[in-house]
Amino acid sequence: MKILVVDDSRIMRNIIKNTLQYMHQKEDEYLEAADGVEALEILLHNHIDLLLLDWNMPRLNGLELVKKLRNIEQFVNLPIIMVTSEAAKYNVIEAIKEGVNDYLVKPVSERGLLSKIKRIFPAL
Amino acid sequence: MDIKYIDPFIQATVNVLDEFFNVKPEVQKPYLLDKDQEHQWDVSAIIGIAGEAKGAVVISFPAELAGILTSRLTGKSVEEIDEDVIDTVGEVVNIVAGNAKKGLEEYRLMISLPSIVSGKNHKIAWPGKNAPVIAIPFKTEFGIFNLSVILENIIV
Amino acid sequence: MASFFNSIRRFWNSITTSGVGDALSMEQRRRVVFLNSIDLAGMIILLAFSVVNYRDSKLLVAASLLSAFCILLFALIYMRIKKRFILAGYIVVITIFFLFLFLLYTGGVEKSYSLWIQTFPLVAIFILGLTPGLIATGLYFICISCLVFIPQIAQVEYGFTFGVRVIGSFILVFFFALFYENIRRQTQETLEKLSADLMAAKKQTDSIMTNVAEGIFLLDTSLNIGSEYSKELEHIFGMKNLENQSLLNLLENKIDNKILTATKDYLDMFFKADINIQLLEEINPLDRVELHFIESDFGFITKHLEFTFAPIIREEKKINILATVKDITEEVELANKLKAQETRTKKQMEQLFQIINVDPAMLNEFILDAESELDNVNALLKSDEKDYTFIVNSIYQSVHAIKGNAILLGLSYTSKKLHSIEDELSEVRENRLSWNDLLKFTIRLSEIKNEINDVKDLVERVLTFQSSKEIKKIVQKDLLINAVERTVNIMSKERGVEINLVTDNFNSKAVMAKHRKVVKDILIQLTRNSLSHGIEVPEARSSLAKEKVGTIIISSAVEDGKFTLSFKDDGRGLNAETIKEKAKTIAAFKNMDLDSLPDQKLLGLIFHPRFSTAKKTTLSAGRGIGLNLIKSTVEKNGGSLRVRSARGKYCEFIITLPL
Repeated sequence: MKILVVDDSRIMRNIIKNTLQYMHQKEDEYLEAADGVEALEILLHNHIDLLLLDWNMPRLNGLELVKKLRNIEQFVNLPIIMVTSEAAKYNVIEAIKEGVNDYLVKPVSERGLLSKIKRIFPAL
Repeated sequence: MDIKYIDPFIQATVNVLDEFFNVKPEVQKPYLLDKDQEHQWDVSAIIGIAGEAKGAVVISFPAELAGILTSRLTGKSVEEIDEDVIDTVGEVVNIVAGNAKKGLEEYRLMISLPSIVSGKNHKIAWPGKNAPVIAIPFKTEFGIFNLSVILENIIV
Repeated sequence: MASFFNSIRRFWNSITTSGVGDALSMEQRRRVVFLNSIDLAGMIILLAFSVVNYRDSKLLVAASLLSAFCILLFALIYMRIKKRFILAGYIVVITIFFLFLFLLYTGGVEKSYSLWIQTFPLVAIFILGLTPGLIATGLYFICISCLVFIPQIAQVEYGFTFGVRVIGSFILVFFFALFYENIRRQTQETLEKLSADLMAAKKQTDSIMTNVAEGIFLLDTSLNIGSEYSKELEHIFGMKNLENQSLLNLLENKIDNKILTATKDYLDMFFKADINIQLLEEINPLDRVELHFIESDFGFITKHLEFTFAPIIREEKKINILATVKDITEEVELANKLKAQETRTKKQMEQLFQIINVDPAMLNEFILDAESELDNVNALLKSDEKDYTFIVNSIYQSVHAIKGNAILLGLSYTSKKLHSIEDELSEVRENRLSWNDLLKFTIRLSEIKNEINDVKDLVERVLTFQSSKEIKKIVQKDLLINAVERTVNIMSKERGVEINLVTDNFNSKAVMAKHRKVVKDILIQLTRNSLSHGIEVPEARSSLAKEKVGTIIISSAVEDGKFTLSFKDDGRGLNAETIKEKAKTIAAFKNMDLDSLPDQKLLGLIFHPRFSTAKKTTLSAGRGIGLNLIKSTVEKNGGSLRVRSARGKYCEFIITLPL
């Protein structure tokens, strides 16, 4: 599975990557991007199976990126999990309205991550 | 208590008196009000506040000023605090509350309908046991009226 | 025209419902109406034909018709009065029975009377019911068969073929009537049974809906409340007739707007396909929500509600949302109260520990002093004073004074709070002051008042534990010196200096009551200054060939109607050079020609509000207003203040106050 982790903090990206690797332990490929523009680039040139997206980023934030993606046919069904530091429900609801599949609250726990991934990919 | 909650009321009071009654109030120095002390006001209107902060805003008038405001609205001269005066005060405070509401929306504050009390040294039911009351006097050419605020922050 | 028909219709209705009582079932009522209708119809026909026959001189027929008419009329009236429809029914059927037989017997024009006999089974079965109707019809059948087939019995000869046809069609009608009545009866029974079951079920549901402690309701795709909902929902919203109301409208203006928009988006999600149910549960924006209901008179009602939502799926389509709402106001308010109480208790415990060590009389004095400071400032605010800077300065000085006293008594919680307010005041004093600043500081004053009230509460409670004997022991004179002693004790530890306090020549009784506070404030400020800037640490003193222990002498004298107070320490003394250098760095002195000032004048600079030689601001020193405050206070009271000093040796302050 190819997973794209997008977050403006390198530390955060590493943490998420490590958590994923620890949980999954299969041969998954992990790609990174520091903001929405980079992420879009990577998405267009790779076949990504899952997108983990930080919500507050410069240049193109999570919400805007999701709106863009869902307008592109190839990404209409791309599984997207938003990663946010605040769990205010109205933010999550807005995100889901725009097409996000699920959400995670920082700090990201292993169990939390795994359960959300299982929700989207029950076969795993 | 935070200035940002009080400001909309002050603005609204000044606007309403200016636009409706052509009376230009000048705000004076605020001070701490002694709840138990005798006061000189003849009629007070109480607006309740709830939400992020809880408390009340009370606008108090002396009889003369209230009478003049009333006569400017009704066209008749006013001798004492009668129903017309109570209505006028109620109206004024209603509009003030309505105007203030807009400024308070972003703070998640809600205001109730005003209630009026009158009479010499009438008792005002201040909510909150020990919370202090800030009195803000306004000077007009016809007398001084008072805007008192008592607010307790819920979210500290 | 219309009203004419209306009155006819009403007339007809009233006649046909004669005899209908409330005790009758649906079935019976129908019977009665049918009976009445037949009766009435029959009467009209009989009357008409009676007249016709009379006109045609068929007197016998006319008479029999007329008599039948009368019997029917009697039956109708009887029904209306006595309401015994069963008996009336029998009367009618029997009458018809014999009438038709008579008609058959007489034959009529071209045997046309035989046509009338077809109607008997219908009438009999419908009026009398299945079994009696059958019996009556059976009898009737025998009679008419005889009349038709057996010659010589009837007046007319019917002949075989005619007779067969008459009887045949009679049998047909009879069977139809039978079938029809049977089916109708069965349908009626089933209907009644279903109705009864339904009623029983509805009773149970109603019982549940009225008594359940939660609001339960359904939402359709437009987010409107369905017609069936539990009574509790009305209690929660304080409204009746909630069916078809929009839930969002009900919530509008009662909850935060952001939550309202989120709720609309959230509920819309239910009707879209493929959103994980677990996820939906997690992001419910109304799982705990605060509502404000505006009351008609002063005040709000605040409720805390807990909503849950679940989709109802039928045939793979989400058609409704099942919603429940619970009123959890009590629990939430209790939890909030407990939390607030916890915080308050923690704070009180802290303060209590601090207070317990202090003499209650001193605490009382602290409280009185603080309240008087606040009253003074408040009086200033109420006055006509227009100089905002002056007012803010006064507030600052008062806060500073109260803080000082708090530190003295070891009330660190209170003094820290006052220190931060002092900081706020300090920042603003330099800039242009606006009315908003004044308001802000008035609010701070109210917070201070609160603090003092809290301390007052605690003191009252502590007092009950301490015996009153001890209080009487402390007398006024001790309080003044006590204050100084405490300051010395605390600060000497802080600064690592040792002090010998000499107060033998100080007569606190000579202090006038109105000057008590002034003198106290002065002594404390001077003591603080002395320990902050004056007395050196023991090592430094030794190297200067001084005694390790520093000495502070406080003495007083009364002469020429004046009270003189002297405060002398043997510390560093004042250094004119240092003062001059420091002054050069302060903006306030920019315009002064400092180099040309004589020493005595330079020493006088220390009383300037902006002057402070301390390196940084600590709780105890560094604000630079202490001496200035003293000077202004003394002068306000009609006194004077002098300073004498020798560098490195001593520093003495002499204050005089008029008596």
